Amino acid sequence: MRKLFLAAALAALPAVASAQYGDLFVWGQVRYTGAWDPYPGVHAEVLKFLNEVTSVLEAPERRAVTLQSPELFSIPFLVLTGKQAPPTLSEEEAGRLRDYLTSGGFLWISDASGVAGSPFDAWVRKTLRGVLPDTDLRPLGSDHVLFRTFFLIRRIGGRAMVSGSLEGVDWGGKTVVVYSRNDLLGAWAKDPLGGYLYECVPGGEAQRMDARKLTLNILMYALTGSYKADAVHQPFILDKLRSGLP
Amino acid sequence: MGFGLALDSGSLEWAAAGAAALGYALLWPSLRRLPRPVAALRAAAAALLVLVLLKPVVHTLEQRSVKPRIAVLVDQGPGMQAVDDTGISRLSRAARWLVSHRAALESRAEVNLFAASGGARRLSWEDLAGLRPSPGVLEPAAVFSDVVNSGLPVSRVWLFSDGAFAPGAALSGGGSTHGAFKDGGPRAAAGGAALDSLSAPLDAFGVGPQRELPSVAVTEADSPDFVFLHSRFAVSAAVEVSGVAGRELRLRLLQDERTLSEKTFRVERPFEVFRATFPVSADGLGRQSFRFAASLADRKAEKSLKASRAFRIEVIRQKYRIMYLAGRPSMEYSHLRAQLKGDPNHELVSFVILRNPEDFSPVPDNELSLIPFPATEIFVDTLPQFDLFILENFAFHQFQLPAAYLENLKRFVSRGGALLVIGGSQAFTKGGYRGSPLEEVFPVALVPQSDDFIPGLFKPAVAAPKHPFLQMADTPEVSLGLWNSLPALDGYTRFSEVRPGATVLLAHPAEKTASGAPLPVVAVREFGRGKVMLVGTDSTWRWKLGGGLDWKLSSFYGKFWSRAVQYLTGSLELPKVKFSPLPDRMPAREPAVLALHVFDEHFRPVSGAELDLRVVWTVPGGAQRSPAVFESEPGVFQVELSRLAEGTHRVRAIARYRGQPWGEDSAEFRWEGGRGDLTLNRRGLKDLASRRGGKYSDLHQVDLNAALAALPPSRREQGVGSRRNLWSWPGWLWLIAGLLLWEWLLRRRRGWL
Repeated sequence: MRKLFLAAALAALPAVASAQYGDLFVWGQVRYTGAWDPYPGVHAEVLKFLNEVTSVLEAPERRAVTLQSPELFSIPFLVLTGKQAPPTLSEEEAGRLRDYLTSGGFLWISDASGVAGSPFDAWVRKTLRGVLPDTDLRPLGSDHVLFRTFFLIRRIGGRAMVSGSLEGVDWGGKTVVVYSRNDLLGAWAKDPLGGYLYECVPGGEAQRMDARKLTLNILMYALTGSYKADAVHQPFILDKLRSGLP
Repeated sequence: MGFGLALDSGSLEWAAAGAAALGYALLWPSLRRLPRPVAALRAAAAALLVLVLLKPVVHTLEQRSVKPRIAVLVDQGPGMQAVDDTGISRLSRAARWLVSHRAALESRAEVNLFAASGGARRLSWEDLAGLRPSPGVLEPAAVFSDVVNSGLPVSRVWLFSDGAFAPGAALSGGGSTHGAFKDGGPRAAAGGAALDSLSAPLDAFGVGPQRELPSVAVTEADSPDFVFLHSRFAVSAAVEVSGVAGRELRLRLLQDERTLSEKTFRVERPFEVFRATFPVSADGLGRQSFRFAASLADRKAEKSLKASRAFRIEVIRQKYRIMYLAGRPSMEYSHLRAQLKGDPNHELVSFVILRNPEDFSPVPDNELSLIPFPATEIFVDTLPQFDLFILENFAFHQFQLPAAYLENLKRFVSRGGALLVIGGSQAFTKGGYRGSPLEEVFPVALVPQSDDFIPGLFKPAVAAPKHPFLQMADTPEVSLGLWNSLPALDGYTRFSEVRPGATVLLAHPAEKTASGAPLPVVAVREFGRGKVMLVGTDSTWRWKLGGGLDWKLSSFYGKFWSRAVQYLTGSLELPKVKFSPLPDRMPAREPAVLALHVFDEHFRPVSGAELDLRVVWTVPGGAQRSPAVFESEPGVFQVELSRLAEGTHRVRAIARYRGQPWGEDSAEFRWEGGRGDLTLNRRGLKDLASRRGGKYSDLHQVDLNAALAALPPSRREQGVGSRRNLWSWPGWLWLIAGLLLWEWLLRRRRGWL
């Protein structure tokens, strides 16, 4: 069934690519040779949640692009995910990704393997060193604004608890790459009947909820930047954090 | 009278004497065995030889009187060729005065004459009579330095001058060339140091008109080039008055012919300088014109006894305080907020609606980082504190806010605030603005349909290519090329019509308004005292991302929004290139110096390395020249004009900063040649004299006896009267020969062979 879903999504791509969205949020996803889309319908789940919970208006379709695509520079939010290592980027691809990130683009990388030290993880670290050699992939501190862009995040969720933190690459005072290793998108994946495809281990549904909240915060970070770090928010946020919940 | 004995021997004589003594000492063992009379005679001959070798002299000592030494500096600058009311040039007058008093001077002091201009040159009395003015103006730093380095220990310095110092040694503020060594930059610093190195007091003798014509002149107007809005600052003036003793002087500060403040002074002496400082409040933005007006207070005051001096001050904002309210999170919000936040000249407060009232919440409120929407604070309480209000895709009706809030926003604009409205699907009609008080402020009228926002790619066309806001590059052609090479935007708003007085800057390439005009994408208008800009799309982030594809566009997005803020807050039009105020009539001294100030976009001084400055000087008759220009300090450029012709001169400066046209300014002044009505810079000479503990006098009023009395008295010292060289007496040789002969005869006689 999942294969069928993937095929349907791929067939829809040409039509999606030519559509325009005005001021709507567009889920962009990096397409590469290999299993670039381990959870084909998951973006719809995320966008539905985004629509229900926030004021963001989203385009229902995602836009999948290669790094060589002319459309790359018209999609400011990109997801790159996989379970296996993608092919090594060519020099041109690495250059275009560098230009994309340094001119305002945002990339969320999600390791869908659910295991530590995966080939995908090794590829990410090696690739980012080549794309942005002057910066490092570093863990995001618990005080990073991403953890309060919408939900007040105290725990990192995901399908599998591989890491207790997110990592990121900063450029020009902003985190332009966010890297999650806990298979956040896997926690959203559903079967055609609406049931979740995978257990979240070891935390169960609470861990899944943490994954959903963190996913949404990543999207909101791309859309609001350091907004929640403004001084006007701090007394409210600190009050809520001090309340001890959840 | 006394006598003294001394040795006149040099090193050679001392060496010879030493060698003789040493030779005698070496022979001493053999001499000891000789009979005593023989040894004594030989020792006496040797001692006499050593004494003669040391060249003894005897002199008489006498008491005598030593006169103090004065250095007399005669200004040879071009201003000294002026013929005053005496019929001869100033230089000739100074020379004649000195020659006529030569006997009195030399009876009291040892006089050392110097011609002073670009340096100090020793003169004889004969040279003085033939001294002619030089083209170089008097440079105190070089002159005093030369006097100090001449090695003559002087007791006093006398300077004969009209006070026309080199420009750098004069006051810099207001372009005045009066005064000495005050805030004059490097030259003044050097002059001050040289002056300090003069250990002797300095008396200044002013050479100028003898007759004190009644006059009033505003010689100085000191003001900041720019000040921050709502700040208080001070402006000061110096007024020279002469020939009006016993009357009252009134000095007024006017702004746009409205008197802000005034002060009255009682004139007590024939010549006086009055200084006054006025506090001013910077209440208006932009270029503010002021004027000092000086006149005699009585109504019968002659017209000639009025003077004024105008000056301008740019009033700018210290920081642009910006309120940014966005209707929902978006890429436009994310990028524009980062852009505004990253500019240190912006003080940004932003709010974005993260959740609408109808949105579902999966968690308790204390798990959300949300805060209550502070609508009253934004639209009422804090609104006056901001310079710019940005509304991006904000659906006003969604929050059931009172229409008075929009009325308040309209009032904010009419009173001078700036409004930027950025499009989106709920930015205009759908957001509830049609028919609202705020719609009156917009450069456009809204369509009745709520679906006024149309998704779709388009490249906006430049509709007002000459508008300063759209000048994004060096030339209009390059700028237009940049506009045409931008990535497409996505989504535009339909409007009913463009309001009269509004300017459409960018338009949709195909779509029209309901009235058939090109559909505005970016439009501006002025409303009351404020400005409004409308951007009918919220997809300008595409320009930023597109910069990754084309390096020429990499800074376009930032520049666009930076200029938008500058345009809306009025700073885009503020001149960044500006001449310092000039007096109505320039003093006839060469070179005439104009100070040009160049600022960057944040009104910081611009470094000359990044500036391409072209200065065109139009002389009377219309010919154009390129004057000498040098950077005296960061952002300040001295324009020096030499070989001035009588008449009106115009100087125009055109600046390009970092390769871009930056601005221009022009100045005009009247120059009058070396005629007999040139002012005498008494104040500058007085400053100079008082700083060195001396006095100032007009030459025609000099009390020579008093001036000579200020010299230290001649001192008595003991000196050598006559001297006799004892060593040159030939008898010494005979004496030595006699001693040696005596010794020989004694040995022969006594048989001590």
